[in-house]
Amino acid sequence: MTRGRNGVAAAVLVVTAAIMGAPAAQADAGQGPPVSVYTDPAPRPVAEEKAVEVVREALRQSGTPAPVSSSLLRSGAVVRPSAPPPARPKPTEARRRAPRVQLVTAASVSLTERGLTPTIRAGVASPRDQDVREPIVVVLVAAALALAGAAGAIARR
Amino acid sequence: MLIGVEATWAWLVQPQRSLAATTVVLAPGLAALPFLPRELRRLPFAVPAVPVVGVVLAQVVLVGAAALAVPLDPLGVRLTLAGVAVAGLIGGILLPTPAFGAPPERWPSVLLGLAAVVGLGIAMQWRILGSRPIPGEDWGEYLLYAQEIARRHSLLIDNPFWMLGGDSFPLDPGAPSLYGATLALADAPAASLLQGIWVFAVLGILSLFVFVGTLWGSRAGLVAAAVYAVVPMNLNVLSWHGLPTVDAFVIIPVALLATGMALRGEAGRRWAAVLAVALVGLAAAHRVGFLLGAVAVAFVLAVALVRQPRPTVRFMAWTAVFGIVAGAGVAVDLVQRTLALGGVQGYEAFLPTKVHWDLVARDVTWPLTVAGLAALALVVLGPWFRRDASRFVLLGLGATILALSYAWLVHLPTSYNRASYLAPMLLAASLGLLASRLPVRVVAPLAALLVGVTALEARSLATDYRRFYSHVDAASLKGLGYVSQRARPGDAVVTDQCWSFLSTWLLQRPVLAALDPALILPKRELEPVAKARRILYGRDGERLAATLGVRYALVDPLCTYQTGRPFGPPASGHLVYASTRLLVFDLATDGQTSSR
Repeated sequence: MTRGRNGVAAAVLVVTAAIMGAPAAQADAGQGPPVSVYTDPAPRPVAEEKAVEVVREALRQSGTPAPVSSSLLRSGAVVRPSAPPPARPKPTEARRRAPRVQLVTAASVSLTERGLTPTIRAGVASPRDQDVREPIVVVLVAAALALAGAAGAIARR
Repeated sequence: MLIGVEATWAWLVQPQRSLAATTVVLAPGLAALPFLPRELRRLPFAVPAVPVVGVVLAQVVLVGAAALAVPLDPLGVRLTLAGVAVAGLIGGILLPTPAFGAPPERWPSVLLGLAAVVGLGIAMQWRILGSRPIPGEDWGEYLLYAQEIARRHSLLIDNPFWMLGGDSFPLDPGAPSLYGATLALADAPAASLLQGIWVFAVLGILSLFVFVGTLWGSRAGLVAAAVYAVVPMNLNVLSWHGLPTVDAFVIIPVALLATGMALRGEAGRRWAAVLAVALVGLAAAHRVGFLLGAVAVAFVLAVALVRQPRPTVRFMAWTAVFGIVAGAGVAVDLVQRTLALGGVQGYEAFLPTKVHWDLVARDVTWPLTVAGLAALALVVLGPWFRRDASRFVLLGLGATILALSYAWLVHLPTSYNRASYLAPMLLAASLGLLASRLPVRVVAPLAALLVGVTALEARSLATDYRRFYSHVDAASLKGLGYVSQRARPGDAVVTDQCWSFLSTWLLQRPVLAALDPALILPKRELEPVAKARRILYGRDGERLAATLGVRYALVDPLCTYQTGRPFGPPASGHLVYASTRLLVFDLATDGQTSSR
């Protein structure tokens, strides 16, 4: 009987190993590749360069190409109309019509001054809210009560 | 007593968040002590069992009470918890006390070891949760839900912002009920619970210790808990803030423990009650977690039925009876919640979530994968364990992982890669059981080596996880501040997957989200998601945005679908803010009017 059960268990394990060893795509219905990046981030420089490319593409799409760098994106940048370029001899019609923008670093933007919702300040950003500390005595009292209760209940048995 | 101290302190001094959370979690656990099987009331297991059982019971009671129209305000929460405490007192007086001998002499050192393991786990989790803002997408939605529960004293409520507002929160109610009750008692802002997932992560370690230790001894429990505490995959769940998943992983070991006792033929009515409450708690905590837990329990009970038909049928009957009693309120909530979802998508939508085993092995770490699978083979087939039927729990858990990872073969619509998140539990428990039969002088160095190697690997992987999910950083917060400054009251935003849940909380304004189809559970969200996609990527995006009152588009330039395909920049609007993790587009057709 025991040998029989172990045989069944062995069979389950062998099937398990076989299935786990087989590529997931083999039995695929042909729709959609398996998950590949959910936990597989690109290295930081590669990711930052990718972000720069996306921003360049977005600016190009809207017909307003402007210089972009990863360091600028790291600190955050506001896109603003740029000052008109110096007068050039015989600018083309297209150049005169093209809107021009520049990315201005947003380092000076203050979260509190910019009228953020209280949620942002309380939720993540405000140092004041990060300093919320409760009297340690409350935690100790709670822990002591819990342990005393558990110990008392056990001792009664 | 705990409830009294909390209430008195809140009345005389001021409400305290820590005391409120402690009361919500521990009071039901302490009250449940007289009802627990004797194996769980012995030292050292009683100490970790109290908060674990407490968190399960609290969810069952709070969700049930809210479904039966008890308001989740300070009085309602305190009365509900007091009701559980009174039931515990009466149970302590009336119920017969099972006899068990003196606790093992080494129980203090076991608890000390467990404390060290928990410390190790917290140190690992610190790499994900230790500094604000924390990574992940989902925490925004949970904080918003908790805020609304505390404000409206109910669990079945509408989300004022999601998909332009008006639909009910589709989230599982378990953990949010604890959050809401804590906020109600503490009168604290919801943001104070930003790192609340940490409590569940620590309880997960304790729960695994209780499961493995109760079945196979303290040494097995300690080894399993130590391994489990350092597995990178568990940090991965924290990095995207899978609160219900982490909650479910506190409960599943409790259910597995009860089935293990049934396999041994030692499960009476108390164990049936434990299993019933665990399954009801799992249903309240997480739909996918319930599926995983229920399938695992079914596998194990099927084995128990073959081995010992009559006692198992009796055990299952008692479990059903207790389940009906404990789960009535939760069932009311879940039925209403499910009806509001409009069903779920077909299985084809979830195909991108198929499991990639090489990534699973990497997230578990290869040394641990190999060691754990070898341990599993040994404990299932090895001669040392033949007399212990409870080892089949591990086989049931493994079968569950496989069955649900490949459930697309039978067209079951679910997120398939979630099943692989049970792998650390299986491998750690297998190693624990194996360790219980080896001499300490062999176990100690091998376990230390394995835990050390895994922890080292976890350190670097944790950095990757955190970076991958760090949508919220100083630069993106500036961008959100910029949107808040520019937007008029009532202006909605459209987002990609990465900024969807975060925007509801951080901006507190209507959001239309172009979610990844593989991550959409309620079918009712398909239509608004299609609209969001049209705004972002369609030809008539700006016109549709104007019709729906959507003014800004928020996308993460690094955001990808589950398949790895990038979301990409929208085809509509013009860029007004750019950072590495947030691009803001103004969708106004007269783009210059909003510029300041």
